[in-house]
Amino acid sequence: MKKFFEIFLGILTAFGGFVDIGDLVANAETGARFGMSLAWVVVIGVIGIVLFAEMSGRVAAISGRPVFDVIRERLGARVALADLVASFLINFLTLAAEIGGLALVLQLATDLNYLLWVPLAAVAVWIVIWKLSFSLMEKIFGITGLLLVVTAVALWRLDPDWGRLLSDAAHPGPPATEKWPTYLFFAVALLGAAMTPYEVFFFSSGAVEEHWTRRDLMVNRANVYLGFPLGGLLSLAIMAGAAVVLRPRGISADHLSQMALPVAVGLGKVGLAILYVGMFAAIFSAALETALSAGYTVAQYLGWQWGKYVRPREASRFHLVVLVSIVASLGLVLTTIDPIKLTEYSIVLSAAALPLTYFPILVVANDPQYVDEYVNSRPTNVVGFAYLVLLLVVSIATIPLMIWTRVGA
Amino acid sequence: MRLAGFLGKSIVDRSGRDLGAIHDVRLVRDGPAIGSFGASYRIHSLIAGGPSIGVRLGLHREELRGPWPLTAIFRRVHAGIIAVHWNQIWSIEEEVVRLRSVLPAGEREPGSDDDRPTGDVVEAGLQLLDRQIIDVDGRMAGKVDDLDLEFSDEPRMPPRVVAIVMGPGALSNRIGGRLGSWIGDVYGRVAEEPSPAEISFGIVKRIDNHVELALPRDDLGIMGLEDWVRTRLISKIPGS
Repeated sequence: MKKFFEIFLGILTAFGGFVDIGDLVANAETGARFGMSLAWVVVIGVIGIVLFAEMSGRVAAISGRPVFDVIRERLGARVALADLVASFLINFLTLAAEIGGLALVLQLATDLNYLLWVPLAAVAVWIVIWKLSFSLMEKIFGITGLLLVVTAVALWRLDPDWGRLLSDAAHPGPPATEKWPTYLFFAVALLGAAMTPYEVFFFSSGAVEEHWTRRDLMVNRANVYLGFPLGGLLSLAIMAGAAVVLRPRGISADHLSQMALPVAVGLGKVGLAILYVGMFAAIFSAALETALSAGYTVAQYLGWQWGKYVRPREASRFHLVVLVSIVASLGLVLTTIDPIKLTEYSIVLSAAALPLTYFPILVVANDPQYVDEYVNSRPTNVVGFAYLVLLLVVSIATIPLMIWTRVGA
Repeated sequence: MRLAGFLGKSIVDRSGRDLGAIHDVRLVRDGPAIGSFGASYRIHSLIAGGPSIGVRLGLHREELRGPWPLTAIFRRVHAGIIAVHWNQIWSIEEEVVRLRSVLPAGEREPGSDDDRPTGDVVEAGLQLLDRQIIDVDGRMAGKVDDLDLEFSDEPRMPPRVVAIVMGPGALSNRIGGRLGSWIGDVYGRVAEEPSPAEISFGIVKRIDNHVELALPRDDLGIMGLEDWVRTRLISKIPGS
């Protein structure tokens, strides 16, 4: 019964914690510009993150090795260092985007300029990391993030033409007003939003934090197979809301306030209040995950003690990296760079960097020295290899697409 | 000499034919006892030939279970791998390892017919280097950045692994290039303790997916930076 409850809580946490500022921005923007014609990318992204997270969680549970240990063991000190630098910088951009996103939500709720909220948001993120236990911190914000279900309820209340939404989703390709390169650029953005590397750094390190063993493989599967796809449905609800409310009126989703419009129209003020709390919690949980991931990646590459399962004084260097990353991202957001733009860059670059982390995990999930008999099944490998090819293509295409479309302008 | 010193050198036979770069070093645990670890690892053979990437990833091994296109490609690429037994080695030079005989084309494991590795065999690059070190209390204590080798006085006896080398001083060598030497320089100037630090292989308790030590990490003199960060910064924050 206790185990069942634990699994249930894990699913809820994965569900509520799935959406972050990247998903909010990418799904609302594409919904407003492309309707549902990019919905298929969300499906591909969710299947991808399910596959990726399940492998990394299984490797961590059986071998005790989180993702960046594996990267260094398999790529060697030199290549892994390049991988670390790229992963760390992209994760840093994501952290800054999440902190900026928190401040934007607070601005929406209070009408005070977001720049005033940025330092408070950063301090709050750090205090929670410093004070709360790992599982408490993960669950509080993940489960509060479930309030984002309000986006789906609002969509249902808007009573859209479901047949039309479905047929749009079933017909990929840019609408008449948009060009192919822009369409593909946003496809990359959506993929990067759904499959962000920090999710896997955090997920696999979390497995070690919570001392997973082979007995927890069930928890791993439940989290990933149920929690993530449910979270993906929320992404689709956000996209559909924008497609129904924003697109016909020619409103773009450049600001969080516009992204909140579908809920405001569908459910009014109460809905909006619930949305704000849900967004805050979901983004907060992502801010915690990215801040911790900054420490996880560096410490795992260098072999330092890391983790919240020991007191901060026992993992001093890890906590120093986390603290410095939070302060630096605070500095970046305070330059008045647009947090939404920052988010766009972070998700697109995340997509480009995916093979760096995905490839070593795919190899090791097939290695009995790491996972004993729990190697990938044949179907997993077929899908896993297809994703390797896909991610490589995306990685090569991303930068040219970025330049060609002037970052989706 | 350190183990990583072998990696990347070319093997040349007596006729001067280049047999390819060394990708890994196979160790067998039958050397003289060291500390509480017992029998030490000694070098059995050098694995060389073809491109290194698949060996580094472990994709050349039969036990790897897929995905099929990767294993198929890399097993093909690495079909030409050779394992040169230690008794074939004439000299270890700056750039090359020279063999004492001429290797007939097609010979895969020269010199090992009378000395097949048995028992505890590891590929050092794949299974020891870059692994996490865990101390006796389960705390993380660094990475295996390199391994220190001790050569025997007897001729033709292979060297054995006597210590784990760790810290930026060793890591910088592994990273190599201008960046590596820069890291080494900077660390050499700021570090208070000698770097790289060496941990005797005699206190290794177990080798799994990590290397487990029989002592607490604070007894090893390797926690200088961690201690510095703790006393100067982290322990000053309430609730640490």
